[in-house]
Amino acid sequence: MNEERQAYRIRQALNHGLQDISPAASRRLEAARHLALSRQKQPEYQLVDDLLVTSTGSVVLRGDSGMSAGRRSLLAILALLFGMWLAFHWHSETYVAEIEALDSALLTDDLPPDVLLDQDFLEWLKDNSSEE
Amino acid sequence: MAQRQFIGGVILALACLTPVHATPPTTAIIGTPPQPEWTSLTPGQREILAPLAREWGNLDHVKRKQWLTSAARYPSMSETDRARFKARMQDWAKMTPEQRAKVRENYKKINTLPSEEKETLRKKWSAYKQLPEEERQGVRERHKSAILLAPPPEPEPRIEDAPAPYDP
Repeated sequence: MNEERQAYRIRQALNHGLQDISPAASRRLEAARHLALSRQKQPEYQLVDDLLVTSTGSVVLRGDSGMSAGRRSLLAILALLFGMWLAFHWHSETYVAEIEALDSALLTDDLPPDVLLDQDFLEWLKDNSSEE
Repeated sequence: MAQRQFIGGVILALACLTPVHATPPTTAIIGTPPQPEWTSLTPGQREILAPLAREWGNLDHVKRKQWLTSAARYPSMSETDRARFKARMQDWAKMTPEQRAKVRENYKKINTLPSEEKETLRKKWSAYKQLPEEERQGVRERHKSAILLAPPPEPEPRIEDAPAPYDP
């Protein structure tokens, strides 16, 4: 309560003193105010909200990173690209395993690939009807 | 905002690169690390993959990885399978992607047949390949494939074995 009263008195005194400020001092004060406003820190544009990659490769949110927006953006893009590459690598492993198993099976089958390629011959072989 | 749109565009562009059946999907191509050159293969791998020695330099990384996986499988194959594998791999590698896709498609279709039909198909092929080369085309043109499983015709009796005509 005392603090409020004290602040009120200071404000009253300052307002009263305004009448005694010279025009030159008033201009200097105004210039100083403009200067202070121009140096006020602008809010930074953020692409993503403090994305960070941990040592295990997972992406986490972090409050105040202390990094510039540019670095955070770069880190986020790198994390995204790394994640995409991991997904593609996994897909490659799956694809190669499947296609290799299929090719190995057909390359060792009784029916050689050139027979499997000859559609007419294959249909003739598959036809189980007897002679008329 | 522009960066977000850029990232979104990259993802969309990659998603739109639809995989073609005859060739590996783009995601698999991107996700496959560089595979070794022929000179960097182990002696064992070079021996198994010898029929591909000349083509190896032209194979993409996905195919190289596929053949190296097959080379790792090779020791566990039976003798018959090994012989077939080595005999066929060169022709297989020389086929176009579309031809290989067709062969795979037909192989999958055959494997969906009931086991009896598959067995019959293989028996017919076995009989067909034992025919003399010059007879094969004629058999295909004039007969149904069932003839391949027909028992061989009885040999005609010789004259001296034939019963003597009745002569009272």
